[in-house]
Amino acid sequence: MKRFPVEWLCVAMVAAMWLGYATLGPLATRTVSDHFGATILRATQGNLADAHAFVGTCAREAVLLLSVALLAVIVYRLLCRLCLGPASNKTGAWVFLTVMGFVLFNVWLAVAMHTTLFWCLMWQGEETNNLTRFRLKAAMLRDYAAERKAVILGSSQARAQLDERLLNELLEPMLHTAELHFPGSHAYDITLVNRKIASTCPQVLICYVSEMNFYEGAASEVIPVFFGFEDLKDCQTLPVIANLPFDGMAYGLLGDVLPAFALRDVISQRLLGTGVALIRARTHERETQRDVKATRRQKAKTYRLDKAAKFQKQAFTAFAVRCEKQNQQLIILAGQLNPSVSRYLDPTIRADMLSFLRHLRDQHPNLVLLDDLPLQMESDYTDLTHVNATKQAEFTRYFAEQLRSKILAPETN
Amino acid sequence: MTFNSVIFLVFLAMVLAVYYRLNHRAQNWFLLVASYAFYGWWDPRFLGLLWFTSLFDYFCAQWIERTSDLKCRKWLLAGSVTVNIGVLCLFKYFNFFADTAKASLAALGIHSSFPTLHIILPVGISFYTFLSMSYTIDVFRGGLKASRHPVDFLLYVAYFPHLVAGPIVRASYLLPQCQQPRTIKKEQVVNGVWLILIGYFKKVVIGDRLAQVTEWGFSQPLPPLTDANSWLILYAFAFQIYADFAGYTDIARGLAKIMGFELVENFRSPYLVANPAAFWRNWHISLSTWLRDYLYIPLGGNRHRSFRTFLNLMITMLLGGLWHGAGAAFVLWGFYHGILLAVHRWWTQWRDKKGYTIESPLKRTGHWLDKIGHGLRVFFFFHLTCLGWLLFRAGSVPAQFNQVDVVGHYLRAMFSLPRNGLTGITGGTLLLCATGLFLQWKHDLMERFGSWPVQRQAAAVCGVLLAIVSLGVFQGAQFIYFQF
Repeated sequence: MKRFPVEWLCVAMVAAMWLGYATLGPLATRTVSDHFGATILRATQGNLADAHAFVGTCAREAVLLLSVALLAVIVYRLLCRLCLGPASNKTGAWVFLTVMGFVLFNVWLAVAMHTTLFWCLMWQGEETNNLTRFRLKAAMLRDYAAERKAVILGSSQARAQLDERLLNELLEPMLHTAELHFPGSHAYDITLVNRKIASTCPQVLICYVSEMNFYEGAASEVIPVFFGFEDLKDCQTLPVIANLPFDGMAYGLLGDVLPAFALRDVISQRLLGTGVALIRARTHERETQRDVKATRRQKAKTYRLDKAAKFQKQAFTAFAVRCEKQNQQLIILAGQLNPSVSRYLDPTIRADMLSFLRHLRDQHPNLVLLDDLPLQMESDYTDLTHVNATKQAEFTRYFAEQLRSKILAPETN
Repeated sequence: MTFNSVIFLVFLAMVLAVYYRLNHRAQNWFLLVASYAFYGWWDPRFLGLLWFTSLFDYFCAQWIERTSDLKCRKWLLAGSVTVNIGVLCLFKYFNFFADTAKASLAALGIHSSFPTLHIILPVGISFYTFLSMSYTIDVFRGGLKASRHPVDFLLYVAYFPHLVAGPIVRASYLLPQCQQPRTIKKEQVVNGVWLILIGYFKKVVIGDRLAQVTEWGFSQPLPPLTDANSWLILYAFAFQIYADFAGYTDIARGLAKIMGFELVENFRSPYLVANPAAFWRNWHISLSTWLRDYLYIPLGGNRHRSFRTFLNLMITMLLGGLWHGAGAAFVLWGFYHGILLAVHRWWTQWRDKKGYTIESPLKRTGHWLDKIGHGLRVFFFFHLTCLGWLLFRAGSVPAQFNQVDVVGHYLRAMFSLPRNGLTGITGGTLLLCATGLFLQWKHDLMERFGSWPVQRQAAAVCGVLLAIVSLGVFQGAQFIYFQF
């Protein structure tokens, strides 16, 4: 009996899946969203408005990803037949098959990375990988129907300072806010991250910045994750090559070409668990807690007024210019470090930062600078950088009031 | 430059691009220069020592072969051994011996001060001195003709794939390959590429991931440990050191294969054996055979009475432990394995004497009970090996931390009651350890990649590549055995 060609079987499966989706998809979506809609809205913590649309998107993407996988199998088999023919079992044929398999898997991953479903499958609760959290929230913000959308950018310090849920409680429907921070972001990193969220179309960008964003050098965890070929154009306007670590840029560019490499932290955390994937950070944390005073002095020493700081300020200026061109309002909160660190800092650093931000405000009418924020004490911090929940709530209310009365109100009036 | 660095990949590409275009003599010259460039990348000052020991042994061997006077030959051999051991003692063991002497004298109430040398330990010194010594010893014994061409011999010592972390290849094995033109077969290249890939997989996926777990487990302050996760961290270290070292050896062997050389196997299935003798036939094979042939057998081996055999065994294992590091912990580790070997030897002899060696009917029939029995013995011996690794790892904690405290902390956790639960690192750690165990289980199959069906080859290579790219650690973590 002649074997049914696998390729035709795959084509039939793809057709059946789409036919099934077209006929039964709406019913299945309705059923799932009726049963689990409330759970989904609760789990997404205010980042999602329409559970039904979300489920529908995920269903469509599931069919899409399965179709792409089956198409990859078809392409694989056709190319093998075309290029190897009867030589498919000869020595060296494995090289061609390996390259094909590797490339097709990466193509599938490249498609998957642009779906919400993929990032949902990578979700691991509170210890979800930073990139997963970022991508999922960006996807949800893109689909969120709101009159005005705001994005909080910056490092984990920004996330600790502002509670997006509380902001939304206080400001919606006037403004919907999503925080899309990425830990370790310096000023240039904010530029990189901002480019990646262009599709979310926010009208307002909120940046909580401190000395950490400008004076801590140029190396960060963000470059290997976000730097890509589209960012190479920065080399024309900014001294990127002279300031960014070569390894970081190389990893970023490799990630652009190889999705499996770009997703290495996500995949390893999913397969090996957060315990193993995050253990290095925990070891470092434990060792810094060993001698807290020494750690503070050491941390303060890393803040310098040098060419890297100049580069960060140039990058932030370029970011402000880009926001102006895109008619986005940029709200900058001139924040602070934990006083236990800042007391060891060179006092000219803070003065330099404030002077720079004020100059930026004067140059760009779209920029709002809040530089007289309430002072925070050592007791308000859980560690060297992040405030505690009480202070976060207090600060968020303060900021919401500023937004309502001084920043957004004149426009709505 | 380590094998898992970008700069090494660039270096390798450049070397291969030129290597294949050259004839045999030019290849040897070129590889020698490339090997020195590779070694000099760590620190150019290390080259001086490498040249000194290599050239000294080259000329020693020549004179040994020319001289018929036995006394003169012995003096020359003694000179070679003295220079090599002397260099090793000076750079690696001087401070350890000085501190030990100082502590011993202090225990007797005698206060003394010994100078401390502030010198960097040259990378791979333990490997190339042993390599070079084995050459002169083999020439002395008449088992090998002295090399007439210095480039061939210098290449044998300095050949970059095996220079800094072995395997310790005998001159009788590698030198002829340097001396004769090499034909590079397609299957050799295919197997070489596979070995390189599987080596990288072991190193950057298994070894470096588990290294992060053991680093946490041995960081300061020591984490609070339950009995369960203290064993887990030891498993992690056991497979880390295996994956790291076996991975390096695989890469070295693979690189050699694609250039037409064959290096010896250094690891088989060390964690799937049931006794210490079998362990040392599967772990760091090149070192254990070196110690057997150049230390244990010359001391008398097992040709004497029990006590002398025991002594020979203990001396060999103590020095084997010391070879790994200038520290009491490494000596203790060697002592521990010596005791295991001695006990095993005594047990085997006693069993033979009592006539308990009649082959079990269960074994003859491959009965499942016999398999379970073997499995339990393997399981038990693996845990004995892990206890030895505790000593080994404690020897690598920073000097300012107390190694005894580390060992004590772990032993208390491992053998305490009641039994507590596992931690969040369990799943990932066990998965990585299981993968390491699988690779050992299928070791023979891995060595025959060239004979696999094409589809299986493609699937395996694709899978390994994807695993390296998506699960690997790319912060350029050091190979453990580089510190030896």
